[in-house]
Amino acid sequence: MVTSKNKNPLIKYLRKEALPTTFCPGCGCGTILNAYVNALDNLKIHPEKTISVTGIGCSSWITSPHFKGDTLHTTHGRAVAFATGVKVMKPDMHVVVIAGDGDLAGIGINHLIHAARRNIGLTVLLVNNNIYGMTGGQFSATTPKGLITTSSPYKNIENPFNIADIITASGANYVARWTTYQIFPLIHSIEEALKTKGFSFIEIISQCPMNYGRFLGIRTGGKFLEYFKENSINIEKAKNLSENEIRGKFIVGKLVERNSPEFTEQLRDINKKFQDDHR
Amino acid sequence: MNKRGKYLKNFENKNLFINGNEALSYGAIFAGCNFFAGYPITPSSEIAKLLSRELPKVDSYFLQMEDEIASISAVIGSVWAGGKSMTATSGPGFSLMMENIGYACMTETPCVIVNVQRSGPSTGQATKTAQGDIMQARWGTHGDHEIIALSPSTVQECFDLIIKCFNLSEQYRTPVIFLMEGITANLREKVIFPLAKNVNITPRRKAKKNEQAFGGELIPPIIEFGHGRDVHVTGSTHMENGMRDIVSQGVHDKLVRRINTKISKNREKITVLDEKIVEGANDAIVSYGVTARPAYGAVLKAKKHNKNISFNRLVTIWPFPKKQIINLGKQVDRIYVPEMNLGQISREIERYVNCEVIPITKIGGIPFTVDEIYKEIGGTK
Amino acid sequence: MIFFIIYLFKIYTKDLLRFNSVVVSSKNGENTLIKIDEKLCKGCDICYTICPVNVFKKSDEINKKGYFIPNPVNNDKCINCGLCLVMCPEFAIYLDD
Repeated sequence: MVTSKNKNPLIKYLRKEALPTTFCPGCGCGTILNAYVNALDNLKIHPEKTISVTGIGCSSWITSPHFKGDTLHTTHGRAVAFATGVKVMKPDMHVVVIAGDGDLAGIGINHLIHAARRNIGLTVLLVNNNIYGMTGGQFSATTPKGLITTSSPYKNIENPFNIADIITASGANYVARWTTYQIFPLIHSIEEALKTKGFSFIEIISQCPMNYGRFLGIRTGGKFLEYFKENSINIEKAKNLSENEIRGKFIVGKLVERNSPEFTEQLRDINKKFQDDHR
Repeated sequence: MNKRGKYLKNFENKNLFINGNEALSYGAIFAGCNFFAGYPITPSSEIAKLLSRELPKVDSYFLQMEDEIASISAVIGSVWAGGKSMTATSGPGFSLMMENIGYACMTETPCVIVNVQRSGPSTGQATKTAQGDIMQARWGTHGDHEIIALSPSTVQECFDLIIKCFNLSEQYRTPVIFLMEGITANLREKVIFPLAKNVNITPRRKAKKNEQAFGGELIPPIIEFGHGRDVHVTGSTHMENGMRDIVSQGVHDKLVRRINTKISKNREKITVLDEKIVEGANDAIVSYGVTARPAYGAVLKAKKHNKNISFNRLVTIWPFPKKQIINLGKQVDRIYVPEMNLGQISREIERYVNCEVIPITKIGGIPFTVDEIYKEIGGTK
Repeated sequence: MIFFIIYLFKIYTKDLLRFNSVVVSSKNGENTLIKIDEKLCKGCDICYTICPVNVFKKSDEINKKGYFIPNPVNNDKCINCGLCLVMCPEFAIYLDD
């Protein structure tokens, strides 16, 4: 353990003027920021080697403004599209998109799926708190059916997405799902995702005690973590369980690991054809 | 000599018989464009087709994105990562891009957006020409903002003005819209290519160690990603260092006024017109784009019949050349404004002049003929 | 007593090991002081919920913003698992010599 006088040593990766964070007490966003800087610290990746791209929503405030390094805070749902442009021009940097389920799995799911299909070397951390938190608790594309929310007072009649499965099917090189409870596996997963060449995606199921917890009756961060603990099933174990047994549970673990060619590398290969002749 | 230099040498002493889409594509390569992201849409698909073939030859990148919103997003992202970027679309795609054009205005991202106008609203006449997006280019995105928009009348201008678009975008750190018409995109004319070394390219002004990217002067220098400067780019109201501050009224006032003033204050430096004012003429025609050609034809025909008409062609549509139009309004009794829309620039002219403004509108995809305009301006023969 | 704690720790981390992870190795018996930066702490209950050996107790002390700061009363029981450091959403917990 690294000891330090007066503050947590990982604060060196953060913009001090942005602390304390603007997150609600017990919000999973702060924990995910902590996990992210732990992963970077373990891999010895300096913030200078990263470009953070975020969208709109509470989870998009994880790296912007708290994390140092170049940051592009974009419009709602479009973070992955912006990040595509960034990665093509800066292929040697870690381009990390951190945004929420409302952002990436709602309005921006189109761009997310296409980026996975292209297998472009982005690392996407989708912070899934199953709700549109910032705007006051409207149901999102991942909110369970039957839940009363701010915009579904007569219970949600829509089915939720299984976003990590969708990205797996789209062809990403690395897909995993964890909750904020499994913090050490999550850190390890973020490290693996950063080291992956193609499209790496982690769905992080996170707590929103304020605007989601109030519909579930779970009002604090700690209680939410206990809820995640009780309802998480490791993917290896889940393979042997029936559908009824895994319904409504969080299936955590590494979903897929592939080695398909990365998009920007293939783009540069096209240009290499014209090394010598130019007509 | 680098790859682009070698590639451009192929155009030395060449005059090519090409169409507007091809001309502006080659112009973009001359201007140093190294990133294009687009989505196919008639009548601009040919730009993407040519650039997909040519950009790899100059070690540049072509991306076909999943939609126009992704296209403009990728363009803006690439600029902050060091690119000189462009996208091309038509009316429906232009409407989709509006949110992020506003983002480019707010973050002061230099980029070029080509809108090859077609008949609208909505899907309209997809393969027919129009000039219906003039006001949209100015006000399409929400909030107070200024924009620069250029309009070519000939295929040679498609080549020349796209280079100017890139230069203006770098000089004023703003997105620039290239408003052309579908007909020019498909029109074939001779284009005289200049020597690459004679092409004037405005370099991107990058910030020094102590300079900020979002304030401190009227047009601040840019800080690209990857230089260890911890740049924070956001579409929210931000302070001079880029950090978000949506609470204080003063910060928003200062930022938004500055990004508007940097263009409005330099209106006269930016605006370009092709003015053929005739002393003593009572009438004038103000036109732009492809309509300027039959409009000038009508002016010449009128002259043959001993009627003098002043002629004014707007090369820059936005910012609007208000000083020149005010002066014109003082000299004449009547200004005719032929447009392939229901009167968008004529409305803008009316604001500035006291003389009579007569819009000559034509929609339906068929451009004006000389006789049509000549008849409207009072010609009887 | 120490063996009991190691046993508890192993049971707890077995939970985490199920997820095929690399677990932070602990150094038992280190004399580290757990500190909470009360300027950053928001009194959420994560650290005292997650600590496997109940180092923290919610105190009656409130900081300037009105949050109840956790008190590491059982500091000597700490097994250096690192969970509180990593879970704290505000980076408020750190170790001092």
